[in-house]
Amino acid sequence: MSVATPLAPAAVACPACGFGLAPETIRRENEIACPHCHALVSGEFFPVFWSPPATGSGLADRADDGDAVCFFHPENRAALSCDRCGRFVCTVCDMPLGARHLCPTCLSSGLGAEKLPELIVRRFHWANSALLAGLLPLVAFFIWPVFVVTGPLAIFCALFGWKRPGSLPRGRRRWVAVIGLVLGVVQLAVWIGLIGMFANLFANSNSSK
Amino acid sequence: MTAPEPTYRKLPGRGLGWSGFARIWIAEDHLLEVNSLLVSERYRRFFLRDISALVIRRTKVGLAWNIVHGVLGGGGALLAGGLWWGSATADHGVQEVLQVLAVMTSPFAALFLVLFSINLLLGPTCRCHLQTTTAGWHALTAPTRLGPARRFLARLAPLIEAAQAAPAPPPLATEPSR
Repeated sequence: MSVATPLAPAAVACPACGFGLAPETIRRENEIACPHCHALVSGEFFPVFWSPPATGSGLADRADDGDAVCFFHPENRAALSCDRCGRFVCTVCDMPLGARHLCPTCLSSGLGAEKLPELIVRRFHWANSALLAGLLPLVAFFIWPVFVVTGPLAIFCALFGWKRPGSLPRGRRRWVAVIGLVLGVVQLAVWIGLIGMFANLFANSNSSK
Repeated sequence: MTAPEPTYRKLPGRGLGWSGFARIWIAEDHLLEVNSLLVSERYRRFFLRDISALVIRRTKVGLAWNIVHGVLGGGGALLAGGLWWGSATADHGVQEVLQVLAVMTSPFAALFLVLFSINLLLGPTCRCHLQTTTAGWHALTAPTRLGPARRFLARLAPLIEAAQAAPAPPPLATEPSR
């Protein structure tokens, strides 16, 4: 397989204006000013900047007799095995995901149902929404007509999201859902109490007539 | 089969922008940028092996906020003081109006002076830019203050270097072709 070894770039674009800066002048300890936009920059360049990884030619090697072959391209020599299913893959089918190497099938199955944590780009917080719906009457009491909705909503969000995945770095944080649930129950109790009180008043006024 | 979710640790610094609160977390082999807005979180990942540079660029956002808070806080304080001082020499009817105006102005002045002090204590603002081998520069949404950004870089640099020093997965051993 032909391998191209790229050279480290002689200049790096200023992140503010794109002007070429000499990377060896940028240090963590002292700031330098970009000659074009005068932005003060400091930083660090890592080993992969100075010696970029060798990149393949983009074509897989043809397999000879006795070579392990790619599962998807039997005519290509296998370069790696998939870290998930173990299938042999060629350089065309190798899908690097951080330190792991996957085959196209494992990658696409992970894209579909949030099975691979590396592919999750967004998460909804059921616990936070329960807390928000529970707290809304305390911070915005002047919109009281919507509180007939926020109580049941807080309870629904807390219960529905109980087993759903939470924040990727912080986890589920069920205590937040519990607070939301309690606040939702309190709101519902207040509504039931108010309805009972008005029903009583109405009944009393009717009986006194 | 669902793969286990990685364990994350917080890195110094946070940010606040249009996309919500931002924070950077680190896992074994990647950085995770989290932008949270009330009930949802958006994620961006940067694998340590791919990070070729991390640059901190000073910005003038903090200075601009200091000017805004300083002008509003200082101006408000001067106005409240002037109104109060003026009320001492004013006629009886006008005196009460001036005192009420001074009392109404002072909380706003105090609020902006508090914001001015907080912004001053947090230090100068910056933007962190991260370069990857595959997709060029990425502007991170956190950290946005120079002190935490330097601590962030100091914590991150050895981890990136260690990840890049680790050998790449060995190619598949094959029989020599005949």
